Amino acid sequence: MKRALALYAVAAYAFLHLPLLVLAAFSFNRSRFMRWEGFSLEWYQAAFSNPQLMEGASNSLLIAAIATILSTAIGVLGAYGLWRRRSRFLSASLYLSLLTPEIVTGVSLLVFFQWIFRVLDIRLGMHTVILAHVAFSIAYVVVVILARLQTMDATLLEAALDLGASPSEAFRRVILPVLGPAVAAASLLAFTVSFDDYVITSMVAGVDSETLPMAIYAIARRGSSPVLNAISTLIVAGLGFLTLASERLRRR
Amino acid sequence: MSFERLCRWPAALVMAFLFAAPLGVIAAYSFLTRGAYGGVEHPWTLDNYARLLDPLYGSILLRSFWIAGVATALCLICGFPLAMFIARAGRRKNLYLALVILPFWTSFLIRIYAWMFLLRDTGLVNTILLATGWVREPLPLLYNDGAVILGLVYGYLPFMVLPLYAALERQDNLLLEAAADLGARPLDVFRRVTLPLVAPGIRAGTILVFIPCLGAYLTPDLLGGGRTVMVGNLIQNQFTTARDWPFGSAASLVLMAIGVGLLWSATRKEGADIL
Amino acid sequence: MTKHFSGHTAVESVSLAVRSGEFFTLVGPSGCGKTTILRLVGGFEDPSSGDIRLRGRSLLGLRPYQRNVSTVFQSYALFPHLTVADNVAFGLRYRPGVRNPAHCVREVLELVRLEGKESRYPAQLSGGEKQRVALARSLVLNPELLLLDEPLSALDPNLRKEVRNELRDLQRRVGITFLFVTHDQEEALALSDRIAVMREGRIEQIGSPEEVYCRPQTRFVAAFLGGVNWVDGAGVRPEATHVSRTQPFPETCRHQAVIERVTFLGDHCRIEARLSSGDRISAQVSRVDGSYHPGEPVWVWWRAEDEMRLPS
Repeated sequence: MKRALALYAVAAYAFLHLPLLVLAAFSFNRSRFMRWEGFSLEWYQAAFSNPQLMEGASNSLLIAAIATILSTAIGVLGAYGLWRRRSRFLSASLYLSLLTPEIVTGVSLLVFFQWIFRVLDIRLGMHTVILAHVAFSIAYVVVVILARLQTMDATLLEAALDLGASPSEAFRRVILPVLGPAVAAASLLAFTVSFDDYVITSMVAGVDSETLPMAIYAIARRGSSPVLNAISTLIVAGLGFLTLASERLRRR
Repeated sequence: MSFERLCRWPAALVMAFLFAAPLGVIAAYSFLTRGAYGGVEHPWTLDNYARLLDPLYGSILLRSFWIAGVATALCLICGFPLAMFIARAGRRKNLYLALVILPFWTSFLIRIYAWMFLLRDTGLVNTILLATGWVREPLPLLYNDGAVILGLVYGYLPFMVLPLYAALERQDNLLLEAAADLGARPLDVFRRVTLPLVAPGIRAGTILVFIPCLGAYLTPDLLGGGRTVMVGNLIQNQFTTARDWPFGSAASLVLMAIGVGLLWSATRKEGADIL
Repeated sequence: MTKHFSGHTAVESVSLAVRSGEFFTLVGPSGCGKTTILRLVGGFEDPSSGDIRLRGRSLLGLRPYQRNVSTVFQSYALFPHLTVADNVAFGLRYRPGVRNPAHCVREVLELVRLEGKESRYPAQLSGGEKQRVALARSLVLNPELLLLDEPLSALDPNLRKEVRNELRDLQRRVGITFLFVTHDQEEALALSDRIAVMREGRIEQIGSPEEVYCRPQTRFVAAFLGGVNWVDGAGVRPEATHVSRTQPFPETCRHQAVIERVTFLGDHCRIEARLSSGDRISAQVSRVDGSYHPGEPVWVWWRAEDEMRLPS
């Protein structure tokens, strides 16, 4: 029985990992066809000199960086607030936001922004993308931080208060340092989620704020391209590394 | 206002304005009428919801259920043995778990693209099949419901494996030994001890896979070939090319209602803790 | 004061007065409300009704950081990201009058015999050392009252007695009033100037260790603090119950009995015997005072003044 399970597991892991590994392998293929014609980095060079991809990358990095900072800060405070005092609205809306299909979130934000913009006369652009990213990232941050808070010794907070610290001082001097690794893990998670988002971003991005996933989607829709293989491998490696780091931090 | 009460406010404000309010707006729009230039106009109506019952659109809804259902079932069948393997793995459990989860957190879009790369007419699979002479012409592996289901299983398998693993892990090996000691054979043990204990995990995993699959957009869009395969595609279409916001809003709300309803009914029974 | 939680009353009309410089212990089984009282005094809960006064001033409405009362938690609650010295110095920042915090920290660490460990982190300390850091952290603030929530229960049993004595000596030296909570009656008896025995949210009796042990006012107090033999409505402690092969003097309370079980416990034996009336008693007999065997008929006796007559 154990043998059978192990064999099955190998097959299952192959299923889960081979597609990306194959993609990575062919990104180093000199030929653009399925024949292997030698190792080459030319597609990586092509990716870095592709203006659409590079502009998308820089937009994505900028958006992800800003959205991460905002959603981490708001999320950590929100998680702490929830830990101390229940709030049905906040819990429910966070939970619901994780459950809502991305397409629904995307269209609802599009409609909402258009509705507001009739009053305020702004267009869709980087700022709307950032706002959207902050909105959907917060739930991820809260989940990570709340989980850590719940395993933390609750008397640490009481001890700090007992020794004379006010609630905000106790948060700053005791809770936050103890949460440290979890905050780092949550921010890496928020960055990953933001950088990779296509569906919501595509609905609320303006003409001049194309992100990397949007650029990739456009190319993928037209067919395959080895340049896409290259950039994909880079992204998967990068985000995979961030995710690993985040998991490591979360377990500290 | 104490510090602890204030902490919640930034998050609450963001959720109120950037989550709840937008949902409120599309809820309102779902009862309005499509405007001449693509916006919305006054007559309040229930037509949009009625249209969903129309065979044309109703069939999309049914197909979404069908695809999501098959994908979920496949996830269960494929995920259960894997979860069993990990639960019995001893010291390497965390490593094996990580190997399941890690791909999910890289890039969803790229993972779908990977399957496009493999399955298209000039893709790897067809190239191998042609080269080895198994087929004369490339097989149309891509741009059909099967490819969508494959993509969904590939994408959401971890969401089935995790709860199953959690439920299996809780199962005390001693219980299994006790059952065997009392005379039960392996298949009996599985049926009478393992399966009931794992049931909450199965429920949780089913919900965690089915609901996202039902609302899938990107997977059917790329692997289904741009046709309107599932509800998610229908909705996206209404807000872009078709410009029928009220109808799209109605479809969105129905999709959400189904998801929330399923979740609510699932958490009525126990197993909520696994979620 | 009284404290209600949804569903049950943790503390019911409890009144007590602790004297300055006293080592006062709240003892009772788990769930009796002793920790709740500690938390009420510390400011982590508000009483449903009643008042708490420290040197005449009411503490009601004051948050923990506004009270001159310090708590030593059962889990010690040491801040894991700070060194021992930083842990101890934590609260000094909120005392404006302190001119040389480093000096205060050094002094109090010497007091608890942890000098030299200033730059260690809590994870590197033993259980006993952690407890001393927690003590030092509270003592350095010179509180008017120190609250201790079962500080010894996380320690190894053999360590516990040693630390217990140190704690007592420390309290005497420092002179701060201690309000101590434990479920261990031996600890309560050994450490306290006065004890309050609690049960289900109420105080059963307050008194010195000797008073509550030798002159319990209720059966619960008697049974909680030690063993009791109940015979004819009176209670006698096992150590006051004697066994003899010869007939005891007439002025004693004497009964004939048959030994049922003899348990060797090292320095003493526990002899369980059944009286002719049917009652069972347990006697504590020093090992050197002779050995008895099951089935042996003996006399069981005690002095009349050792009897405790108590309402149920």
